[in-house]
Amino acid sequence: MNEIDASQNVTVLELLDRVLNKGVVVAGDITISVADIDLLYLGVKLLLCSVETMEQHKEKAESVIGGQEDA
Amino acid sequence: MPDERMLTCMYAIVDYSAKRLNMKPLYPVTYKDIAAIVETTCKERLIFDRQAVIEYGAALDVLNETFTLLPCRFGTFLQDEKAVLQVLREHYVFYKKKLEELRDKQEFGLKILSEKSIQVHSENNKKQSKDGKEYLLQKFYEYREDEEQKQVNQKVVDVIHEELQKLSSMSVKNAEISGHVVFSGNYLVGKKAESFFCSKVEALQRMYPELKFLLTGPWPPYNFVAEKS
Repeated sequence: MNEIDASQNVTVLELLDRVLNKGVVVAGDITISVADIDLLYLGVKLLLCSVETMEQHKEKAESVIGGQEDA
Repeated sequence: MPDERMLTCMYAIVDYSAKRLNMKPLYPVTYKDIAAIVETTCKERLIFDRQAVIEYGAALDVLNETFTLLPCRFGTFLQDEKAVLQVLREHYVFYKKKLEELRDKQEFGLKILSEKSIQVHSENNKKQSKDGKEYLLQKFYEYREDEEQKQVNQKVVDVIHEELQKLSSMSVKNAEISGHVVFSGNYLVGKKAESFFCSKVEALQRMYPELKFLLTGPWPPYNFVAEKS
């Protein structure tokens, strides 16, 4: 891999990390009203994130969805 | 009743006092002098793949050229514009304060790799001793070398981080570093100071040729929008 390719890869990885893991998170009670979107979102997380990060998100989403079912 | 199949995707919250948006299909939902930049999408047509994430990031880059903004995390979907307005209304004070802090500033990311530790490992790997005792000894020496190298690297990256902090209004050091990455951090830099910041990184790279600097940006301020940043 030449230096330009490597540099482009780094930039894409940095972009993915920021867009998926950083930024404003709009607090739960409005977004979770469409629970299946959380599941769709998990799909892309599975695709792009590390297993460890994925597990954290999965736990969060499960607790959110569980909370909804309880309600 | 809103159409259940339509969703509103939030891209960013922007200072909407001076400039207007012309970037279809994105449009603003305004509240006082701020706005959420959104897109209404049919739920069935949503695609969550790598390309979608890259395009989302690219749209934020374009918005960042025009507005002071708080980027929203990918996948922020609300039911309708009414829900977006509710978010803006409830968090107006916080968003406004953040937008003021971030006015005319952008983010740069820096990763520093230690090439020396790469060399140490590759040289050691060539030895391939077969005797068990020798193997364990070799592993021990590798560990000791690694630890010594880590300490040296730490001192150097602390100096580098301190130098770059002086040129930025805020900075965050990422705790998660692994492999050959000995430092990972983000800096919030004023637009007027950007070229000076970049040239400082280049100068530091020349000072420490044994390290490899990976500077990326300018980015929208992804790492500086959390409540505690």
